[in-house]
Amino acid sequence: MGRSAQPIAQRAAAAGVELSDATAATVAAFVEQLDAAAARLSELDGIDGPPAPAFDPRWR
Amino acid sequence: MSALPTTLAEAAAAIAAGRLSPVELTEAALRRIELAEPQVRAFELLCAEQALEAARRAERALAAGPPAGPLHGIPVGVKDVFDTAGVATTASSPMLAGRVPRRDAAAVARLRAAGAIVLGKTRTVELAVGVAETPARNPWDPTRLPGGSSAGSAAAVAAGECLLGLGSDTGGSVRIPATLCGLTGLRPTFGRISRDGMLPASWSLDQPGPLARTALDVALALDALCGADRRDPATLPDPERSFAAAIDDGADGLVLGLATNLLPRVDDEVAAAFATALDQLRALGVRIREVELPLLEHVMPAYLLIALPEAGAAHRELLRERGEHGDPGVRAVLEAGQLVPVADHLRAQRARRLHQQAWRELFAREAIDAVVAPGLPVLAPPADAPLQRWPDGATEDLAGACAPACIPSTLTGLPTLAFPCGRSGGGLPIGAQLIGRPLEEALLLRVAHAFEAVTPWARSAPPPFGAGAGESCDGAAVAEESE
Repeated sequence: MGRSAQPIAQRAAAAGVELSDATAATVAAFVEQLDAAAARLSELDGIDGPPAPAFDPRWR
Repeated sequence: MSALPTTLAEAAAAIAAGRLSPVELTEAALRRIELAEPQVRAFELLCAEQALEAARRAERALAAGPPAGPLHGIPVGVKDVFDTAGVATTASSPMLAGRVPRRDAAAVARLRAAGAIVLGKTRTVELAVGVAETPARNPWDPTRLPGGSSAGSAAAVAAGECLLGLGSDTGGSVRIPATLCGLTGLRPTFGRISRDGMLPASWSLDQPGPLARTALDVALALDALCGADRRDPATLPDPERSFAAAIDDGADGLVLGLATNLLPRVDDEVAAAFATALDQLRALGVRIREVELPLLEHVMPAYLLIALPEAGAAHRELLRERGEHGDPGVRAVLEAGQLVPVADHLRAQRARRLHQQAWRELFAREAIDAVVAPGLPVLAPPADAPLQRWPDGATEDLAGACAPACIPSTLTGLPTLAFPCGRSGGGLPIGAQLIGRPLEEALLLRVAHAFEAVTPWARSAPPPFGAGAGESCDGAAVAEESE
């Protein structure tokens, strides 16, 4: 099962996050957006390189 | 002295010349706060007694010798994410109610050491997560939002309640309220100002920054704020030259890259004011070269996957222990951030490297000194309906509308200066922004300073609030002259 099809409660439990009734639906919508964002970044050429530092002061 | 100076620099000059005392200035600021706060709601917590005591100390010091510096006796508002010794610091969150730090954040300590008078803690969007959700209001039109998350610092300076605001910027939280409130606001190069003692929104994106009326005011503040700090390993070495000392170097001969792909989706009045500003920059000797900002479609995905997991991790224990006291929307953002897989967060950090590389190539390929663009594509939105409606029928919330203009600097760590460049027909501020190479804040400040010399926007202020308001607003006079 892909993670976007995984029920949000199950995903939260696996991460040790307790969702309340007040937030569960909103969290699910955010998580869907975040999963889509991750898929979007996979499209980038060169994404396989190393992560960046927050800022590289050698760039002058 | 009967009138409050409009700018920090003017106040500093008046204090240095003995024409204005720190106590007079602080008392005048507190009176302004009393008149404006019912509508502006910029302050989370006012420290009037402590401020007056600090002003008296500043006055005694002046009797014994020269000012500590240009901030000596200057009233400031400090965003409620910066720790203040003995004074509650809650990031405007009920989850942090009763939290009283024992020592000042590094940025606050630097301001105090330079002689600044802390008037109180200014409102932020809860935990600095968001840009619109604040009770603070825009002094130019109190039915509208000031933008956030440094909402209170911007509103307080714009309303004349203080002469300097300390803010913090993750995804635009200095630049957005500076633009919407008609101020000059700087997100410095990542590492310029210590984050020690600052409640985090996102460790690898947060950067403190000053908000004030003019570029010179921001430069004076930056001189006091920036420098290496062993408590924040990200801080950079002390600058070699004062930012204020370099401000008169002018703009003649500089080449600015006009970010053409930020222009299609911009409010008509913003577009018109920005076009006029470009002409005014050209008249100052600036050359404008059209450029296309790289990877614009991928800024928001990378930002979300860095900012949200970091915010979720930073506040994980707080949510567990006191989550029920927080705003459900903020809580949902933080909870969602905790559900981001590590691989996705790292993918965003990898994408960030691509953004940095692409921007480095942009500056080199186009041979530009800085990028220029509208500060934001929108005007300050109504507080009760903060959605932007575009001519094609699409709607965006404030964060979504501002993201393309703001997030590139966040991901690259590049210094970015928001400065006022016009006014809408309804009297709302319009701003432009300059994005520079690393550590080149001085270049951005000198361009804005040169622009201010030929335009009225930075020195104009909204009409003062309250019945006694006429006593003390040089800024209002400027505003009237410019209309």
